[in-house]
Amino acid sequence: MMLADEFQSADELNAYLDSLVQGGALQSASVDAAVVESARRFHRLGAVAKPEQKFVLGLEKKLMDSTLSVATQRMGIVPPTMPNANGHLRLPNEVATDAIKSNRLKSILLAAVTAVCIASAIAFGAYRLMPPGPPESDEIPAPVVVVQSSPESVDPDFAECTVTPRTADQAALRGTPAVAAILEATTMVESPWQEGVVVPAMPEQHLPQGEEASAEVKTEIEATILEMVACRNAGDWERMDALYSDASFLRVYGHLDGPLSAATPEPPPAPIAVPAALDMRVLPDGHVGVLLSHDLGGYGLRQFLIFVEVDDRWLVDEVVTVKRNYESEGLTPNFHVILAGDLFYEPNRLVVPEKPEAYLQLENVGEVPHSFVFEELDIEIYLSPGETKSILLDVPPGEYEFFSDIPGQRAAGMEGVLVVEPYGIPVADVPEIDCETALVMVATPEVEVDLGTAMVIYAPATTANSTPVAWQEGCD
Amino acid sequence: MAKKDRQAFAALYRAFVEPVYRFCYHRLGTREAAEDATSEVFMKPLASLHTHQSGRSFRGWLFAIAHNVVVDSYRSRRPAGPLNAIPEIVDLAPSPEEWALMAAAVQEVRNVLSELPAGQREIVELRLAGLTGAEIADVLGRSPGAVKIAQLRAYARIRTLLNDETINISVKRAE
Repeated sequence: MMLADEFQSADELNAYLDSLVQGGALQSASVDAAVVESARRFHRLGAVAKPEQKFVLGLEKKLMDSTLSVATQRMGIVPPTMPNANGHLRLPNEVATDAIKSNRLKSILLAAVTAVCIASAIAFGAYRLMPPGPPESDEIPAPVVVVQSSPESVDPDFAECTVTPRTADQAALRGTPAVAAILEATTMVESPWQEGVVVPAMPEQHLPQGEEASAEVKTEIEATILEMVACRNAGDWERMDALYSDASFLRVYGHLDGPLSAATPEPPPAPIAVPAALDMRVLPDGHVGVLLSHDLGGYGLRQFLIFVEVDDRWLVDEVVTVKRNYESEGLTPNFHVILAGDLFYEPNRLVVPEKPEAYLQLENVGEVPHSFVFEELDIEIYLSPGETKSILLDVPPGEYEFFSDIPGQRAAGMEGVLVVEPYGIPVADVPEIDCETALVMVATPEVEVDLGTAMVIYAPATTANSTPVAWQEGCD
Repeated sequence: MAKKDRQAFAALYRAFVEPVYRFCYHRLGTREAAEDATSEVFMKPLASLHTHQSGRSFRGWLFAIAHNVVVDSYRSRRPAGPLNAIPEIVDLAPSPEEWALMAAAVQEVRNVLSELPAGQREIVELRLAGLTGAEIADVLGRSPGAVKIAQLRAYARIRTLLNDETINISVKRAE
């Protein structure tokens, strides 16, 4: 526990250090004189390290002469929606095929190139669909880039991407009836990260279980993961594709026409580190499931890769985003969660009913500090990586914008809206629906509110379909 | 506009290149790494000047970028051991005498820094780079109160370490 005099000493030392860095030497009566003298001496020593004049002048010339014009051109560009966190970007058929042929998409994709440069991670599929961009050599490096990492990970060299690319015959399978069957059989859910994109996702406790894989299998799968990251960091998507099974490859790209990759591999600006394999389990069908410490897009959210052995090599057959299950963590419907990742919030629009004792839990799942600033509510919360804080949602109904005020993060997309809706809507204001429709809706309610003679069902609050409906008792 | 921006950025560069370099040097431990990181730190603001919010400390914003660059650099370099275990010769000064004095002083700072817990060390390194307490809180995304308490403990620890070093040096000289 902190003592009052320690707080006072901390304040005064802070004031002394502030004056020290500004060239003064404010003295403090309450701070230990030996501490003050040590700080002064330490700062004097610390100032010894200086850059060479040659380096200083060279960098200044480089900055002023060659890069500023490019930077000026870039000013004002605001990144669009963050790319998908999953390793695979699965665009709906109609969106991908129609848009890819249009000039409009070209501009969208070019904007995405910029976003990818600014953002901390890249979805493999989206990147590979882009047309060849302008040469990078004359461009300045991207703004702050955060590379997802883990203590166990290593950075593979591009040279470790050696797998033979897919043949033209394999690529030609795209668009065949067999592919349509695969697509039909795949259960997809809407991506929590990007509107209009579907990905497979499930809570961790629902992931298929199995016995621990043998050491030999583990080694072989780790080699595949390492090569995936090497190919991804090299921008060599042709070889990257060859590390997925045919079924997986076709599920992702089977509905697309035309070339999938730029002619020349172009390394993305933000390399990712190799995620640690937290466990490898042999599934009942002989596949091997691997729970990764973070996703291959670099967002820090876990992925579950399912590998299949093909010709003595383990290839990725499915990529599953591991969803959090808040109920299993003891969080009630009155307990709402917003995650702050590296340059995104999830969700970035949260609709909650106004309730007494409702809490908002804020979690930083990223690798750098993030903040939640609700200007209207005069709330500023700063979270270190991995830190979680909760606040009591004692606010009237309304829309409250929030954002991260850490430099650069808001411009990169870290902003959202918290919508607090009135609770206990009068029954008279709620449209009645017939029993049949109500019973369909009640199958997946998120919130049920008993209002006496009627029951109000809120559709999942984070979707657009959040209009309450009611039916008279007795339907069931 | 471009010309005006160039002039403004040149002034900012000259004001901050040394403290940014110093911060990078203390974090990364070699001149080459510090130069690379410093270059990167100043390249990034060029591309994202529009993201700097007026009214905020430019220095804090710049060091937030420096902080991220250093973290990235750590990941890519993955040193095998702590910085004070790297047997690097510091090449900083023109004359052998000055070189020796500076190298010893820098080494002493690095030795002391390596003894601090990571959170406290980061605060002290930003202090050495010339940031105020409020700016450090901004850069690290921590509350000003938490930074004050952490640095009080850090400097208390530094006092002990410096005294220990002084004693050790005295003993060696006596021998």
